[in-house]
Amino acid sequence: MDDVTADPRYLACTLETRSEIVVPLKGEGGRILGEIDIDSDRAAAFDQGDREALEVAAGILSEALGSFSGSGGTSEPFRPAARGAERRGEEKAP
Amino acid sequence: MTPGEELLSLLHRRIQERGRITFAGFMQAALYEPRLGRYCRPHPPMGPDGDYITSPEVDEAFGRILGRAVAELFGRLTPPGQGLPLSIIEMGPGRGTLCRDLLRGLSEEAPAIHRSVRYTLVESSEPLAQHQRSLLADEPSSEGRVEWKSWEELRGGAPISGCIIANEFLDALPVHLVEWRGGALREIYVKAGEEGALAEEAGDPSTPELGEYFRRLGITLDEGQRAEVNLQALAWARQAAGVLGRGYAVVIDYGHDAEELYSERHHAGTLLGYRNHRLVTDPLATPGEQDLTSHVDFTSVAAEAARAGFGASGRTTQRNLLVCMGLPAMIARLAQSEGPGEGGRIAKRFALHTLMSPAGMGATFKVLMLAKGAEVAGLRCLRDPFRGPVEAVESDVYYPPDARPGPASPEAPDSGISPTGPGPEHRGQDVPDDSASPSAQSLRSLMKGAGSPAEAIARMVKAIHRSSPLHDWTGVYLLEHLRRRGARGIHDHRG
Repeated sequence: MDDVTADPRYLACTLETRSEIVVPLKGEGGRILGEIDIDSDRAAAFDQGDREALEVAAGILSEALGSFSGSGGTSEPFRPAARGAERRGEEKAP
Repeated sequence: MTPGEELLSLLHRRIQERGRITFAGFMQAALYEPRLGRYCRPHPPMGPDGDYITSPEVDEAFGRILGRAVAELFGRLTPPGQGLPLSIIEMGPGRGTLCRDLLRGLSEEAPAIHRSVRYTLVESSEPLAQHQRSLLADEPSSEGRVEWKSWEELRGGAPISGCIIANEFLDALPVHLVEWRGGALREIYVKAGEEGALAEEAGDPSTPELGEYFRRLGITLDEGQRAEVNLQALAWARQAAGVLGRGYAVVIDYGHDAEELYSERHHAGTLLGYRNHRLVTDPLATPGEQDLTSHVDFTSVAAEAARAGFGASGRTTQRNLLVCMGLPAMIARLAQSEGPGEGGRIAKRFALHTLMSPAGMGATFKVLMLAKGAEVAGLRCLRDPFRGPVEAVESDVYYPPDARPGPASPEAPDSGISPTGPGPEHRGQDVPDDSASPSAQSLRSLMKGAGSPAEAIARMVKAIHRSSPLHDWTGVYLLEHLRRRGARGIHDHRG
């Protein structure tokens, strides 16, 4: 989407977003596993080349996600936390 | 009484005797109170079993590659052919992992430098110093090279030639908390709260240095905006200039320029706690049981360092430094190695990517290089490898000519753990240029054939299907390319 402000249905994650590119991650039988969703502060930031690149990346990710699902229990794997996270704007200072 | 209860009761007693304390005073106790503060507990806060992970704990490649950067810096400090005794001083060395890996790397890749180096660990926590001693005890590359000294001892001694490393050190120094209210700077203190808890109280600044800090920057906070002021980081920069006669201070940490750090984007400040690898937003909760940290103001640290005698400075990101100093070549070799089996290779590859990920540690962590009596211009470790795709893989030569390893040294230990480090075939004067390797050749031909950056990206992504080591580059290039197109981040909307 070259100009997100032109579409009233658009749900902005941030006010600065001007354009966005979204490609779906599809699993078996076309089931949607997720999406790659990239925002830019610039209008019309993404072109056909970006789309092609992301579609290939999405295909690989879909494959990987497909092979991960059903590979174990439902519990989240342990992910060690690196520090340096940013506080989210809406968080109140303590 | 648990150590946490004991610390809370100690804080209450102090507040009762002296009145409210600054947040910096609280943080000092919560992290560094002997026996009770988080860093002084028997169980280290860093590492998979602690509260958070650090780059050295992610993979040994971090220490090895930082060793290459140190070797490059030492090349600037030592005239060709002359071996001077050189010092590495590490601030807050955690479990000793970085020291171990850096010295291992030097002993294998730059034995001439390794032989002349002394590594000093500056650790204020006795339990952590014990962890470091036990980790380094059986390490051949550390034997006779490492020592422990206090910062005060180093400040009182003769100035050294060498390099001070502060990896995730400044962010853990106690900070003053301030807030802008009613057109004035207020400081946040800690007082006794209800039911045995601790609570905040705003008041006039405890020191004029806080107001001076913002005046010097020319920054005024927004109404209601909260911020941290790390006066101890400035003191450290001044003291480091005194400890170093000639050499470099390498600061690796998360943070921003002052303009960004104190902008509306950080309205609530950056102070956070980490406990068992989970974020804690209330810093007063469970003192001594959680880590506390805030982002570094690189502008103020660099300015203070310049005032104190560091004549030059340079900036880069962890990602750029790792890429420039050979992480991609390590990954490429990993793909070709027959080392730890497929599972192990995937885990290792994931770890290496974690270190340089543009969506994670690679970009969050910045590198501030301060130089005293030395130059930063032209340093390979400060280059931007993404300016030109060809340069990014141009060569594998990291060392000043006379520091490169000669024929395999008989005392060089076999670490037995690194399928990724340069093997014996990569040593010596005839270190092969990566440009001759199949991966670099195919990358170049891909880039040359592309009509636009976007097309080049698409071609590289397609290279994944050929299970080439190129695919490790692909994600990095793709994200870098999108970032330059103004992309702010990638949201994970996986259902």
